[in-house]
Amino acid sequence: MKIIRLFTATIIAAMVFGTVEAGRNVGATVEIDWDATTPRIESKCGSGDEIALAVQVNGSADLTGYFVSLEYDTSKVRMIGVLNHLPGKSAFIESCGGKAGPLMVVPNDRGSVEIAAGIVRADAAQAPDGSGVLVYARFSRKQWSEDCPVKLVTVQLSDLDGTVDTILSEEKQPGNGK
Amino acid sequence: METTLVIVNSDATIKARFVEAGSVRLTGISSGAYVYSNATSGWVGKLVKTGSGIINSIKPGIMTIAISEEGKRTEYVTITVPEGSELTDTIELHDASPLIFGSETVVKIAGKDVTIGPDESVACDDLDRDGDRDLAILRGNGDVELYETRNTEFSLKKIVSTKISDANCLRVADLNSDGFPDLLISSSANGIMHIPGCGSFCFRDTVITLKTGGCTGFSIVNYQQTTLPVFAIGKPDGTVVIDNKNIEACDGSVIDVGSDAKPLFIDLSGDGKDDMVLIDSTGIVVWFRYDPSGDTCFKAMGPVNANGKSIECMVSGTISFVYGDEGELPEMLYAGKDGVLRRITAQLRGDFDGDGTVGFSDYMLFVNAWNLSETDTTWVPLANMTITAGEQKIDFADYLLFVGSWGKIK
Repeated sequence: MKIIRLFTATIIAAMVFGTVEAGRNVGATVEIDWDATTPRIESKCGSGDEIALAVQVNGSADLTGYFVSLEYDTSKVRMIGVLNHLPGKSAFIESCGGKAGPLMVVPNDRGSVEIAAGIVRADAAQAPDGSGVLVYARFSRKQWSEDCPVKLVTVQLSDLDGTVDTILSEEKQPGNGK
Repeated sequence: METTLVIVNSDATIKARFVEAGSVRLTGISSGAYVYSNATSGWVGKLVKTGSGIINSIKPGIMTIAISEEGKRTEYVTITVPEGSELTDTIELHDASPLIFGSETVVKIAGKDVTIGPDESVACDDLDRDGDRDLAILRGNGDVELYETRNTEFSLKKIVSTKISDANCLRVADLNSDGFPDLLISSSANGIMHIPGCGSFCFRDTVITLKTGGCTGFSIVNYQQTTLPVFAIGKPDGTVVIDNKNIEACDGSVIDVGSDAKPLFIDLSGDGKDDMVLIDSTGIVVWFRYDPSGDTCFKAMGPVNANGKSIECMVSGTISFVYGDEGELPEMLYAGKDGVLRRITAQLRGDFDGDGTVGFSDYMLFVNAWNLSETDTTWVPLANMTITAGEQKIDFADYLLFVGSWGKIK
C-alpha cells in the first residue's frame, strides 16, 4: 500500500530546459508528504487547521543545491514558515558533512514562495545521494476548501558539476494533493 | 520580485519593484523615515536618507507614483497612504549592488573595426541632443573625430582639430552648464583643456586650460548638483589624484595605481554615487568604490567582472561608459590589448552567469562564494556587494542584496 501511495505521490516528470545537458539528477524524483508531523507519508492534503508538508527528493546524486517553488491560494491559506530541517535535526543537504550557505526563502504576496539552498564549495564527499527532505513548509488554513490550496510548482537540483536538472510538477497530479 | 517596504514612523506601506541597481527616489514620505525591507528572515532594517523636496500630489489612499533613478529609468510604486500621514519630504532609497558585464562585441564604423592607440581615447555622449549617443575619438595628433549615430551605425560627422600634440584622454561633459556638451582633453604636459560646446557638433575655438598639471587621463563627476565637480587626475608618476573640494579629507588624496591611468567615474556599485574605473599596470580593468569615509574616498575593489573574468585592455588604454536608453543597462567601451575598440553591456546584478535572469544557477554561484574573505585566493569581488567595516567578506549583507535581485529578468 505504501508503495502505491509512494507511486501515486511521486512526480516522475523530469525534464531539462533548453539545450542544457542533463546532470546527475535528471533521474531523480520528488514527492510530497502532506503531513510531515507523522512518520508515514501522506499523499493528500489533510483537513486540519494547518498544512505541514515536506518536499522529499528520491534518487538524488551528488546533490549540491536545490530550488523549490510552491504556490498557494492566499484566500485559503497563510504561509507560516519554511525550513530545510526539523529542529534538532540536520538538513539533508548537510547530511554528508557539507556546510550549507544561507537558506533563501522569497515569499510573494501573490501566493508563491521560492526556496533555495546549497552547500558552500561542496566536494564529492559532501554532496549527498539518495533520499531526503529538501523543504518543510507550514501553512494555516483561513477557510476550508476541497481542493488543496498549496501546489508544488518546480524543483531544480544542482550537482557537483554545477549542472541543474529541472523537475517540473504537472498541474493535476497526485503529488499536488488532488 | 516585489519588495515590501514599511515606513515605521507612519503607517504608510510601500510596495516597490526594483528592476536594477541604482538610487531610486521615493517622494512623499515623512522626514526621517526608516524604511524596513521584508527579507527572508523577518524584518531587516534599511536606513534611507532624507532630503529636501516636496511633491504635493501625494494624497491619502492607494495610488501609484513614478520614481526615477537619476533620470535613467523609472519605477512605479504602489503606495498606501493613510489619513493623517505626514507627507512632506523626499527620501532616497539605495537598493544597490555592483553591475557586472556580459560578452563583448567589436565596435565597427562602416563595417570596419575601430583601432585605438595607447594615447588615443574615446568618449560617448549625445553630441547633437537627438536622444542617442554619438561617438568621439581623440587621435594622437590632437584631432577629435566626431561620429553621429544613425540607425545604430556610426558615420563621421566632423573632425575638430585641437592641435594638442600630447593629448591623451578625451571626456565629454557640460562643464560650464550652458546646455551644450563640451570637450575636455588632457595633455601630459599641460593638464586638462576645456573646449566649450556651442550646439550640435559645434565647439568653440577657445581652449581653456584647467590648472591640473601634467595628466595622463582624467574624469569628472558631480556627486550633487549643488557641489563642486570632483576630478580624478591620472599623473605621470603612476598615481591618481582626487580633487574633491567638497570633502576635505578626500581632497588631494593620492591612489597609487602604478600606471599612466585614465580614470573614469561610473556608478558601478549602483548606490547612486560614481565609483572609479581604470586600467591598471597589467592592462586589467579595475574599480574603486566611492567611500567618503576612507582616506582617499575610493576603496580598491579588484577587477571589473565580465562573465566571470577580468577585462583585458591595452595598458594605458581608454575606457568610456555609456548609459543606455531609459530602462536599459549601460555599456562600457574600451580598447582591447590589440587596440580594437569593443563594447560590453552591463548585466543584471546578481545575474552572475549572464543568462538574463537572477535564478537558481546564480544562487549556487553565490553560495560557492559564501563567507570568502578578501584574503582568500578565490575571492569573488563582484559578490561583495556591500562594504562592511574591516576585512571584506561575502556575508549576510551581500546575501540580502542578492535576494533583492532574485527573480529579476533582463
